Amino acid sequence: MFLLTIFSESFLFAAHALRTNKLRTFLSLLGITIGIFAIISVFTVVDALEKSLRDSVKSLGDNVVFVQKWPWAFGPDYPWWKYMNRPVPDTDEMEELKKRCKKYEAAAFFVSFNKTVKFKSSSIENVGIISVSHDYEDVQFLDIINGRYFTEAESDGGRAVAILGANIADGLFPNTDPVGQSIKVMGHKLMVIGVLKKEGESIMGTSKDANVIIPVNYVRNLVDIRNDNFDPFIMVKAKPGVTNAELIDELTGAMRAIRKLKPLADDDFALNQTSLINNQFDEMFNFIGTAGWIIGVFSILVGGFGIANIMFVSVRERTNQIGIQKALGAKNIFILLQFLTESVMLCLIGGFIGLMLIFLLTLAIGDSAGMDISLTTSNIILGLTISVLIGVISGFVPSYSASQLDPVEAIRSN
Amino acid sequence: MSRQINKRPVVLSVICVIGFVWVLFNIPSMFSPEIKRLSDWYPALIGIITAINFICYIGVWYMKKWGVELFLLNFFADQSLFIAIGKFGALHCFMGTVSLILFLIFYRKMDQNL
Repeated sequence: MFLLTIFSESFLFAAHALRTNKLRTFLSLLGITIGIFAIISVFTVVDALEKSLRDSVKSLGDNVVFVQKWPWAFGPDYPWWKYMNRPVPDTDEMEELKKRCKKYEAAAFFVSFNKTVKFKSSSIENVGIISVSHDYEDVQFLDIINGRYFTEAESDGGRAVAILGANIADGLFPNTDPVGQSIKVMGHKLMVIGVLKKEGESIMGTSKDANVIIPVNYVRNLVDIRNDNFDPFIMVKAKPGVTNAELIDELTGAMRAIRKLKPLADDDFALNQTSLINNQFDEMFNFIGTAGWIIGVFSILVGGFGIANIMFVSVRERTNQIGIQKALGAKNIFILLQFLTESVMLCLIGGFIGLMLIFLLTLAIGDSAGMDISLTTSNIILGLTISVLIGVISGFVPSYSASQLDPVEAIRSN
Repeated sequence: MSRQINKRPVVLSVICVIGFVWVLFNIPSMFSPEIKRLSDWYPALIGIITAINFICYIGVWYMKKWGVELFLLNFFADQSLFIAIGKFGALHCFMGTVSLILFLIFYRKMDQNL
């Protein structure tokens, strides 16, 4: 009850201060508002960016190992000249891996390149043509909303069939059902047998909306699938219960045997997994977060000084009132908490305004740019915590000095 | 009513100044992605502990017993929290322990009023 009385009285004092000294209080709150706005807006943008990137990486598969020529992560002593001469993986190696390994659930060959796709007079340039072996569907989840996936006969026999990404289907067939129609890629006709569900924009380009999926056995007649520029790779998905490390161990042994590498020779392939990208993200986002904090902390410091200043002025203006309160029996702790709560309330109001501005900004960005950005609960809690922290730190000394005033001297003061 | 403030030993002044700087440098730990990942409320907890730490140093600066008592409680709360989340820092613990020992040495010379 005692605390409730103090809090309610302090809130009234803060509201009174806001009303009576509107401009002064507004300018003081502005510091906190800008500080909270700066810090939390950076964290909100970073969180949205991080979520988008991690979702993109996740879509590649947490339990998938990529057998490739180039590693995804490398340090400063990156011996690129060694990697240059490595051979690229091919479909024969994938078949050999399937025979030798036991810890995988599915394995697929993947090669991609860009070409123009046509349907009658309509055409779309630079479409990502994804050429895959039959088990691709088992390695990567494909949500086919119209039609079907390749049959084993179509994949193995290299039939001229294609599955379209949502944007390609919409672009080439705005008013007709694409399934059963024929598109042209490099002058060759392909029958559309399926359309993928729209995935939306992906920051890392992992969305298949603008892709056409074709069996690799058909594509090998059109292009050299071992072309280094196409960066072909084998995707191997671990069995349930098998860790990526265990799968990598087995794949390393199998690939070394397939490529007949001597015991002391270095691996001439890279086994990549999404955790390598995630680790790099961790470093990057820690750096961005620190940079955001440095930007925001200066604004908060200025805001804190503003609040400390207004609290000193407030104590000075109400010295007489404090003296009367003490003469009537108010304890030091009461005076201390009264001013401290007022300071915290002022900061909270400033912080709340800052958070509201961010909320409105996220709505505006979300609507105009179509970006998935929102003010998260953790950032709201963080913003309010910083406000309280600044309120306590900047308001404690003025409040404490108010609580230590001598009542007789305080009443006499003008 | 006005009370004579006991003269503050130089060593306590030094500790308090280091403490104020420490509090400032401790604020970034609230923003650490590792802490944010643990729970939405951990940054708030760390913020409260940091604020109380600041108040403790103010108390000790004015040679008040409540400053040491609050510091003692806050030190254990702080260390317990960091042990619980697996972020125990030897330097942090050492600094706190040294400060606490020095505060307790001069505890009897401090004022017991607010």
